[in-house]
Parts: sequence; C-alpha cells; structure tokens
Amino acid sequence: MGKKILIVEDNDDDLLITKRYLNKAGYDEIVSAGNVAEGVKKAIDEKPDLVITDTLLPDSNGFVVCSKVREVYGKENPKIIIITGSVDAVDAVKARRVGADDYCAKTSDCAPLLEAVKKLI
Amino acid sequence: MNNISLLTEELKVVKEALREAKDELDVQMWGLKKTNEAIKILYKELADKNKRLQELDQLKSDFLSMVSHELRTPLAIMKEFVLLLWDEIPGKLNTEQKEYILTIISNIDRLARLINDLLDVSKMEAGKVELKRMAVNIIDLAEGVVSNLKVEADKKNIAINKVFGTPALEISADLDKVIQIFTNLINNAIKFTPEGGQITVKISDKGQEVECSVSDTGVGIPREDFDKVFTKFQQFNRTAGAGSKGTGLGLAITKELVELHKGKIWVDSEAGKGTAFIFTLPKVVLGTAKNKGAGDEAKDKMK
Repeated sequence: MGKKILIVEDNDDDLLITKRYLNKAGYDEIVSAGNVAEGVKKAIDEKPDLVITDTLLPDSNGFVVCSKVREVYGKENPKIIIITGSVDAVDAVKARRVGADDYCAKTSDCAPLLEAVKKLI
Repeated sequence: MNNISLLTEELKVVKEALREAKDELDVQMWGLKKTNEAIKILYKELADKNKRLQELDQLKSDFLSMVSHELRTPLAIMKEFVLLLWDEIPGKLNTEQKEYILTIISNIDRLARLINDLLDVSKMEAGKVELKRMAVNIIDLAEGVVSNLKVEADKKNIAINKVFGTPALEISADLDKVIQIFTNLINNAIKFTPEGGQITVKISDKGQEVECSVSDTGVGIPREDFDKVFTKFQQFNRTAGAGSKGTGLGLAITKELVELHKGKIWVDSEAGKGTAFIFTLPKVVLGTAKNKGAGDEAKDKMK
C-alpha cells in the first residue's frame, strides 16, 4: 500500500503478531523499535506515515513517544495509535491529550488495531 | 462606556474558559468512548477463548473415555491367560514361575485400577455420573468399610478408632459412592500412617448435614499444599510403605463424589502430627425421589 508503519514495542511475541497481521492486511513497509529512545529516533529518521506504540516500554512509555513525535512533526502527521494490554480510561484520556489519533486494546487477532489503521492511513 | 468594555472583556474571558472546558470535556468523552470500545472487544475475546477452552476440555474427556475403553480389553485378556497359567492348566509351575506370575497379576491389577480411576474421572468431568440416592445409615456404612479395611490396617499395627456418637444416622445418598469415599480416605490414611499409628473415623450429626472425618498420625501435609491435595495426579512426598503406589486420582475422585452430593471436603494437617480429611454430606437434598431402606443393605454389601 506504500504506507510506512513504525511499531514501538518491547515484547518480541507481540511485535511478531502485530507485524504478521499488518503484513496480511497489505502493509509491507514496517520498521520497529524496542524502546522510547529508539522509537523517537526511528520516527525522525524513517518518517513513517503511522506510528503504533505500546504503552509500557522499558525506558519510559508510549505517551512520551507520542508527545515527542508531535513535538517534532506537529499535530497532523504521522498518525499515532497507542495500543495497550490493559485498557484504562485515564490512559485513554491521556492518549488524546498527548495527541494520539486512536487508543486500542491489544487482542490476539489485532482486529481493533487493523480497523484503526485502515481508518487513519 | 468603560463598563461596557469591562463587561466585554469579562465575556471574552468567560467564553474562552467555556471553550477550554468544552475542549476538556471532548477529550474526556473521547477517552471514555475508546475505553468502552476496548472493553467490549476484550470481553468478546474472553468469551471466544472460553468457548475454545470448553471445546478442548470436551475433547480431552472424550479422548480419555475412548482410551480407557481401548486399554481395558487387552488387559482383560492378559488377566485371563495369566490366571490360566496360575491355575496350572497348561502345566505345572515351579516356585520361581509362580513368583513371576504373582508379580504379573499384581501389576495387571494395578493397571486396571488406574484405568478405572481414569475412566471415573473422565465420566465425572463429562458430567455423566448420576447419583442413585436412597436412605443410607451412614454409621452402618462406615462400620462396614472399617471392618473391611481392618485387615490392611492390622498388617501395619494401625488401630482404627471409631467416634460415632450414635448407632444410627440416616442420610439420603448414593450408597456405593459414599462407600467409595470412606474407602478412599481410610485406605489413604493406612498408606500414609507409619507402623503402630492411629486412624480415627469420626461422624457427627450437624443438623442439616453430617460431618465426617478421617484422621491419621502420619507425617502431615504442608499448609501451602492444602489446595493441591485434591488435584489429579498429585502425589506428595508423604513417605508411604511398600506396595503403596497409588494412581494419584483417589482424592480427586473423592472430592468429585462428595461434591456430587452437594457436600464439601477439605483437609487439615500439621507437619509431623498427622492429617485429617473432613467432609460434609447434606442429609437431604431437596427434590430427591425414591427413598428405600438401605441400612442393612450397607452392612451386607461389606461382607
């Protein structure tokens, strides 16, 4: 589809699953990072159309990724989706505040994520 | 004119504050909506995983059933022919041959017990076991089981004490299954009590239910293992004597049988002092049909 996606995720299994489902849905250009520092750097270097970030990361969290990316690129692009294994209303509000475009639950079939991706890019 | 410009200023401030409040509300609404959606999705995922788990459970039960049946047939044939050998039908046996045959027979029996236990467990898990309720004098029943197992206990010089408090106590229950419960527990107690130890079987009337306990003076079970004691294939390091290799299913089956009667079973133990298995059985469960006298039938069954 020509769109580049950056996934910031430290759990290898989750990363693999997400990559596979995205590939199946036709998104071939996928890069990944395992922590916030690497994630922000790759966002700047690779210029993805979409950033998908987990909330829990070894050196910080996904909200920091989001706000740093917004700082560099502004409010419109790239699109940012924050995903989480533990859904929380407070986190959801926080996600919106730091400029995320969506907040999804992690599921074993990645259905909510794929739906969000389709809507955004 | 000054007042109007002051008011206008104030209005601007208020409008700005309102706009900020509305924006904040929008953010909160967005957050709540997203959370709601996510929860609904996770809920569905949970339901799907549950369904899958149930299917796997059923598969496992079916498999267990089928395998148990398949295993019994050759075992029965083996037993038949070994007994023919033992009866010296094809020819006389020397002492050594007799010894070997005894070993074969005892192991065939052990395998048969394991398969029966497995089948019991799978039937109970599949919900295919029904209780045949009747009026049972639980005191008579317990007396019967104790006298049956006295031979085994005597071999280890273990005394079985009975604390019954009354000569007759009637409950509505499945005769064979209650016999199985007592037999399992007392057999276990004999297995895990050292030579010269004591086993106490207590039955007391608790109004709506009867409370029974089988306690021993064995090594005991550590507190953190209390829950695990009733799980399948758990065998603890309680030192047991020779010939005591169980199937690891006895207590799991006992628990199922007690709970089928809508009773409860639990364990209490002190390391070094002994173990007590306590269970309750309701006297009557509402909605029971036929009640035939079975007090004496229990005693007869034990002879």
